[in-house]
Amino acid sequence: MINKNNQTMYKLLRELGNVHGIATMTILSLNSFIKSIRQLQCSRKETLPLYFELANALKNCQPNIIPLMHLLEQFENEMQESLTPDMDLETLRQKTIESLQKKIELFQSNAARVTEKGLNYINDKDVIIVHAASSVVTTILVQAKKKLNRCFNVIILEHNPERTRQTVRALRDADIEHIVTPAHNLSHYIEGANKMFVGALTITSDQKIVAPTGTAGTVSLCHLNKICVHLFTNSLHYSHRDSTHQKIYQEQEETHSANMNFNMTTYSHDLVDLELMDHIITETGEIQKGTYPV
Amino acid sequence: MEGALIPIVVFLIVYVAITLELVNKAVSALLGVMVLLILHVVPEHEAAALIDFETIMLLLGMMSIVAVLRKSGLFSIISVKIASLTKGSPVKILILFSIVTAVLSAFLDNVTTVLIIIPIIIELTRGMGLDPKIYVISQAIISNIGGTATLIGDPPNIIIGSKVGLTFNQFIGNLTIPVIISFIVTLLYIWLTNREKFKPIDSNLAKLFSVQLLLEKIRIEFLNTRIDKKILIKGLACLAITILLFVTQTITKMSPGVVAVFMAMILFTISGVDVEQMMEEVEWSTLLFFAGLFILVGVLEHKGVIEWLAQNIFLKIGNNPYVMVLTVLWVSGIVSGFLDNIPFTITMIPIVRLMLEATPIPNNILWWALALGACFGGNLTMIGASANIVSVGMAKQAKVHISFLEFMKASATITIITLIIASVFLTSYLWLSL
Repeated sequence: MINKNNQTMYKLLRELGNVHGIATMTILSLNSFIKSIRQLQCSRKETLPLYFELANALKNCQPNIIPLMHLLEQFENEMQESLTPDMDLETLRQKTIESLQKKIELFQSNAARVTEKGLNYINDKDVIIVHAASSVVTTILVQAKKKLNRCFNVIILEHNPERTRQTVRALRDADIEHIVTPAHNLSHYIEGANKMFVGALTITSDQKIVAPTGTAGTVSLCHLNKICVHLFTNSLHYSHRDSTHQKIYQEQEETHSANMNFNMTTYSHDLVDLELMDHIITETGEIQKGTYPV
Repeated sequence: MEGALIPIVVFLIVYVAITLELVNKAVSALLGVMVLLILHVVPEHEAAALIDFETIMLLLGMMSIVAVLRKSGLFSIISVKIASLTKGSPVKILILFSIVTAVLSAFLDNVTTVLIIIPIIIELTRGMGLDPKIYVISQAIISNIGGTATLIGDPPNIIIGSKVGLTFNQFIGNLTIPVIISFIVTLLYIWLTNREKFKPIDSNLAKLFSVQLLLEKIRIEFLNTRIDKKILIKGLACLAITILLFVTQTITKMSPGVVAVFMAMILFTISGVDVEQMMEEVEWSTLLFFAGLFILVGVLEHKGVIEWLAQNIFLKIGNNPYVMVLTVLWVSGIVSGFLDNIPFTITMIPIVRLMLEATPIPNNILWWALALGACFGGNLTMIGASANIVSVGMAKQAKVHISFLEFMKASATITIITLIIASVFLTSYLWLSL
């Protein structure tokens, strides 16, 4: 597979992650893997190397999509264990699809358990700040209103227009009181808020989280104002590697202002110290700081 | 040709300014008109009377209806549905998008059509790791071919229909056959000359994966697209009635311009859209450009320049109807490839009238030659038609650079092929009519 194809794929994955969040992107990736396997036309001999080649390309995405990486590693192990030399093409295809479907179920089940645990962290009269709300965070907010009938307010910090639109639509449909403001205007609302909810792409071995751009500044401001920051994540987001090895995508773009041109460097994600998280909620419940299994 | 020097010089300067895009087209044309008014070549009221308001009304009405349909989200639905139907097959992308482009451009203006189609085709092909260039060029070409089929599909047809009094049905009845044949042959040519680029990707898992991911993304975006069903239903109903009234023009005796503006105003009233916002969507500069050109050519006609051109160039070819038809077709085709086909058509209409006065040709065949030549000829170069310029401009915005020669490499042969198809059709038609 040539590098240009990988770059196109990574760009697409970044766009999806940016707009729809990591959970949706992970599920879409696994679904797309299944659909492309169904369409693939090749010999039995070529099939498995092609599956592994794609899995490998996905594992090297910029930035690393840790939940997807873990699921694909599990998939590769399962395939290597169950593979027999006499397995025909159709059986191989079926087994591959079954394995990938199980990975989707595993991810969804973990996310559902985090949501369930997360419901305990919303009380009446809470004013919750969300920034680039992950689907898990949005689901927690919606279910707290619908299932538990909690009465709370949400301050949505605008991340990108599409993601903000989706969050607004979800909260509006659930009849949750909310306001939308740019992240740089948070200081005007900070005194009225008492919680912040965040999701993360990755929790690294050097105790950092990889999160959507803008998260670092918002979390810092909340920390300074003693607003409890809640991180909702599941164990599939743990990385065995440190933050310097997450392949956070860096882009240099020539930009201009008036008559002056200059290069601007942007990163696809922020790095935030795990120390700044007051509560870390996983599928097993809240875990204590320092006991994080990375 | 007394007093013709000033209008000729003004007209030529305006023509050069339009072709080389030195100034905005509408500004060029109106500046030319103002010079004629200031120099008292023509009085204001006489100049205003030279404007063909039938054409202006038809354009204004259709632009207004399209603006409301765009607001309804209809075009998002169409492009997303087509993208899903292609399932990532390069040949299916070419064929399905071409069919949609051809049909849309037959009933909407070509620029609107490419504005809808080009962004999604670039996103789709690029996401698949394909080179979007040939897809962009093909859609521009197809929009010009599709637009040729109807009275409202392409500006030269609108002008010919309005100024000559040809009906919607006459256009469809006489031009559909050469347009369908040209469409099929064009697609075949594009496929045959770019077979490598349209190879199926079903043996490349990475590309298949990217396509699936892209289609999922498009599907989610579609689910999130806000479709205003009320406006959509009312807009489609009004468009259908408009087309019905075009088709029944001989019974209702309503001219297409009146029908278009009437239905647009009805739609504005019943849809409850923000009319001010819709008015911003109307391409006023195009309407002003048309108005200016009508005056400039009208003055030339009054001063006897058009008659002189007809007598000394077109009538010199003799009175053999076959030669006349083929001359109008090929001259229109070649000139429209390098100059804007709108001023060219406006200039040619009085010339064709004079040719017909000298040698009558049955079944309006000379007019069909002008329509086919001016529309198909627009494909010859990148600057031959507005749809080409807009398509290439949109591709450039998406960082797909198509040079003048790259465009012409693909489009010139297609133009010659389609003009040959038109020649065969017109000569056969003429042979049957004589």
